[in-house]
Amino acid sequence: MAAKYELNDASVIVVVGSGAGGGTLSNELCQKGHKVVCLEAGNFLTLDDVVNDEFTMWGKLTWQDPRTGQPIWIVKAVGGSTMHWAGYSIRFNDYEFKPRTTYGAVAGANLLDWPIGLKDLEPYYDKAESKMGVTGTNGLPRQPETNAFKVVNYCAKKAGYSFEMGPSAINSVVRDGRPSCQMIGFCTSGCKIGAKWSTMYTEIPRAMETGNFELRPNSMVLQIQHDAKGKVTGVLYADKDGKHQVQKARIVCVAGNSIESPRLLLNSASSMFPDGMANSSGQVGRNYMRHASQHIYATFDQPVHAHRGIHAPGIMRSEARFDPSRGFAGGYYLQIFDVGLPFTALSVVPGGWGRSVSGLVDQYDHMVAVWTCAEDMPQAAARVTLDKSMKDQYGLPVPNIAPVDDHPNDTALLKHARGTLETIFRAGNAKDVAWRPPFPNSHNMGTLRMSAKPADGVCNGWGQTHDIKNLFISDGSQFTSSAACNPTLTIVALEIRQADYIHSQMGAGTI
Amino acid sequence: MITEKPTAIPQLTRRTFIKAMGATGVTVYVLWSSPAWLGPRIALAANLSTLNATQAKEMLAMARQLFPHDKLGDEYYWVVVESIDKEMAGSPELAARIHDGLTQLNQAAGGDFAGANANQQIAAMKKVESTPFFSDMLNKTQFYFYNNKAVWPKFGYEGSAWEKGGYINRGFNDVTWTDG
Repeated sequence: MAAKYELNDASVIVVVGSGAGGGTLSNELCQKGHKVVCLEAGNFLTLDDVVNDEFTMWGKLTWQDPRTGQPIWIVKAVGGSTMHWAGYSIRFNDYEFKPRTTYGAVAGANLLDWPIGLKDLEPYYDKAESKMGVTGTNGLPRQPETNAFKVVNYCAKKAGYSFEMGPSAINSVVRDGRPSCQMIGFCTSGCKIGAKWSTMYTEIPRAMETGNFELRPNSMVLQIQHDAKGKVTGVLYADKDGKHQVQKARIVCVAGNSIESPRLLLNSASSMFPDGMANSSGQVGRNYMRHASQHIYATFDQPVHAHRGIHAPGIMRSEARFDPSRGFAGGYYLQIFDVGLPFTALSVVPGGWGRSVSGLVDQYDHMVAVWTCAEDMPQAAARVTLDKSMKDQYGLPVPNIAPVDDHPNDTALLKHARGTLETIFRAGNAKDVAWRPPFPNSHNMGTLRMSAKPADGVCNGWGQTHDIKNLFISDGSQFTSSAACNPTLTIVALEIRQADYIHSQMGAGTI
Repeated sequence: MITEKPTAIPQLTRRTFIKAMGATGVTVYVLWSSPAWLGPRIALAANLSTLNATQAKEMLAMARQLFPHDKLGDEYYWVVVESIDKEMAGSPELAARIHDGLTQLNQAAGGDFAGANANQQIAAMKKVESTPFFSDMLNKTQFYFYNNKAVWPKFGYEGSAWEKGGYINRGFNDVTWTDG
């Protein structure tokens, strides 16, 4: 049922990337009858390739092409980072679309309001939650409480707080041709049974079924090409054999995650666009955001066995609010997040060596971990650029993610979150409570942000670039601010909405 | 991984290293008084290509001090030594860095790191903490030690679960001390 398009077929829409953004957009466009070629840099794995082994799957899934600067953990495979995400699916709060208005001027932060608000996205959040099977929405039951959840919520309740199971895009019932969660664990190593939503086995096969979709895995897009009028005409890519090909296109949609997407625009510089494509604002690559985050470990006299079941069972929402009396702008979620022994050891090692580390690992089966997911302030210095001193296997300059210190707002917020968790775990009679820095960033946002005015950002409220009408940003790069919640649900909602817009604009003949 | 074979040498004692020349290089046997669960005394054998027996002993002692788990025998740390040795064989730069680092470590310990007591070993390691050698050792020991499936049960980690149907019927919610 898969389509096959000619390289010189200039009527196709090219989507670069097949993750939460690109996979969703591809399917939505195909459902509306549009012809889509999706170029994915990584392999097309099957569930047979998924094993319950953290380092093995890290090797199979991780984007390991060279880059410099901050450590990043994203996926290079069909499905993109939906293969390794943990499933938490939370909507933005209304104020999080208006950070500049709500927080006022924050020194050292490049805050800007989104050109859209919660009202614009609500109908698409509805569709996204339905598509992804988010627990606690659309009448779908929450998952049953896991060991880690029971222990954390037991402590929280003693301190006057409360956690909830989910909301999570992991099937709690058989649904959408996929099984319900079997509490295997290993969510972040790829779900072996496909209970967790990933575009690899939902959007991609759905798009194939339409007969309008051609997926080309192992195809790394090197450059977006344009004509004399500055309109995008197609992409240059290295195919599975490393051969350079040019795929013509009516529209190009970029969804390579917030590192590779700006890198592609920068690497597409030409005599007409010497600073990179769609970069008249100079904002391409700027305002890189991850979430302000940290791990807190607590150990107990009694066993926990937190590795049994979903990695990410539940969250606490009550600190995800705007309340300047706490001494910082933005809010945070506390999210239970337990992984296997190898990755737990990896995570506790940055705290040093010796008995302070091994003493924690010794208590692995008596331990819970909670991750802080908090709004990150966009900083001018936090930026993706080309590092011309190093080239990748395709001969292109590698991306550099400028290492920047946490903004003072992030620091204040994380300290508050540590205080909250300390209170919670002490109330539950925890033995040891330890704090560790986060894993390399998996939540990557900004770098091609939406803005009402072309001078402030790269794309408009539909993800369409201000400079080039037939070039779209179709991933988390569009985010004007990070909000406190995990990005995937919002990316999916934005892409369902973007597909509607592209469809209507094509119908109107404007692109 | 651990290679186990019955030994022909009787009366072996813990942390005894016996060096014997093999056809392809130096063979080092690390032997220990095996815990009861291992049954009769056995030996771990490995062809070490870049480390001599003294260096292997030093690396073993360092790996232990990096992540000390009193409940675990040397055989689990020996996996680290074997694995790093294998990496060194493929990377002359790494081999040089580790050889030099072990020399520095010995100097920091007053000449004999492996023979020093725990406090002296820790003090010596602190002196070389900022070297690339130390971060290599830290990262590689972390990986090879905790990613060894044989150590997982010692920490209550049960490994691959999908083939057993996950934990939906095997204890994902068996904690009861939080009830009531």
